[in-house]
Amino acid sequence: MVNTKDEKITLLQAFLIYIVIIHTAMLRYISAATAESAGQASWLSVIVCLIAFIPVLYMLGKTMIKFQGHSFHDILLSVFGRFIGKTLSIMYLFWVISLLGLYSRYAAEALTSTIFVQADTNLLLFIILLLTGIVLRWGLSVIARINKLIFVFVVANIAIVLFFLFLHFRPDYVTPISTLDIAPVLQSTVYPLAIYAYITPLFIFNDKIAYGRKNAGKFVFMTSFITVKHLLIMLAIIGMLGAPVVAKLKLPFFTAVQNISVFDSSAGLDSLFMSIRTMADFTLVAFFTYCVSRLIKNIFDLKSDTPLLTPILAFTFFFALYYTRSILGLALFSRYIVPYMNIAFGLALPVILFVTAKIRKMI
Amino acid sequence: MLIVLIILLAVSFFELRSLIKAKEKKEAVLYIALAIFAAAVGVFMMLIPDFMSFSRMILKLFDIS
Repeated sequence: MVNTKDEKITLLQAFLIYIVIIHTAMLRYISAATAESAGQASWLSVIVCLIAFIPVLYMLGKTMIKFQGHSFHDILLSVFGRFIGKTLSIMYLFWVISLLGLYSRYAAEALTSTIFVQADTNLLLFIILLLTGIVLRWGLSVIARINKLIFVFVVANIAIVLFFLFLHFRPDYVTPISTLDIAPVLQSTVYPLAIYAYITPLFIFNDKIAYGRKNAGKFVFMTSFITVKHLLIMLAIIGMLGAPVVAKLKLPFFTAVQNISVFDSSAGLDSLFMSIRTMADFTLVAFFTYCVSRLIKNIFDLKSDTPLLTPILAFTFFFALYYTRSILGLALFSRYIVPYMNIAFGLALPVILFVTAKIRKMI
Repeated sequence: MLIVLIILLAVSFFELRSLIKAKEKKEAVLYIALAIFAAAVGVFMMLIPDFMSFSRMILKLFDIS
């Protein structure tokens, strides 16, 4: 195995990984979930959710910069003590394993339900996990470098797709907005927040992130980028298909891309879109696999940098198949269980961590 | 699934040998435990094709249908 012990990634590279991992989850999930509860005003949810996200990000950033060079597990032990810290780490491990199983299955199902309709889910799942296993043996820095390229592809692809989607934009689909929309919009912010909560697993490997002298700009860049990108995507999908249709679709953004036409014939952008989305799915699966491996390393105090990759990936393969018997089960689980699980572990815990560290005068 | 089990067995054999050679006992024990657990999930799914899925179990726990 390659020795990558001293290789760190920059905070910006970590944020690029974050932007890519929330990309597919955002495309599949947020528009349909928010459109169901907030209708034509659902695009506002990505702005309103910042009221909760920015303070959490500030607290998380302060804590992680203060404890730079220490893993999330070490921080939990320092702040909460050995017993509570270890218990929280084990709970985190279970949460991340459940997300790894969920997103591995989604990565395979996304292909079988769009372009490889006749393909075997097991085979696609195996290929995704095999590729993850091969690349992860070279360490986090390789994933970060591959991800930079994937990030460029994602941005270029979204820019092209958004240009065509906005040609069909209908302002009457995203208006009117009135005071009656306040409660549904506030209610629908749960869904973008549930996805933004993946910022916390990013700091599981806080010891692998090299912070510069000025970090505030990177936090501002990341927050502005995801907000603008998600706002444009939401406006484009709802402005093209309308909220009632979006709420009923399994993959609303893919359907919108399929409907793009140039000179009265299909533009064929769906294949390009799916191939780049698959790359983003690879980063997503690799990221959560790395998080699981690092948590196991920290909890059991192992020597290897990314230990137990083969059994973790083998378990992920079987667990992803055991997760659900149909795509409907995945959708229900994502809608009713995942948001609350993510908010508890991804947003509430960093706040408790920051407040406890502040009370104990560690920050 | 059977092919994945065979691959897991073959790769585990080589990786465990290198772990034992490097005297990383704790990692080897965890490796064996996790590999057995992964294989057990796979065998369970092959033997009981009509299993209740993880998502269904959790949804049932919270009374969501």
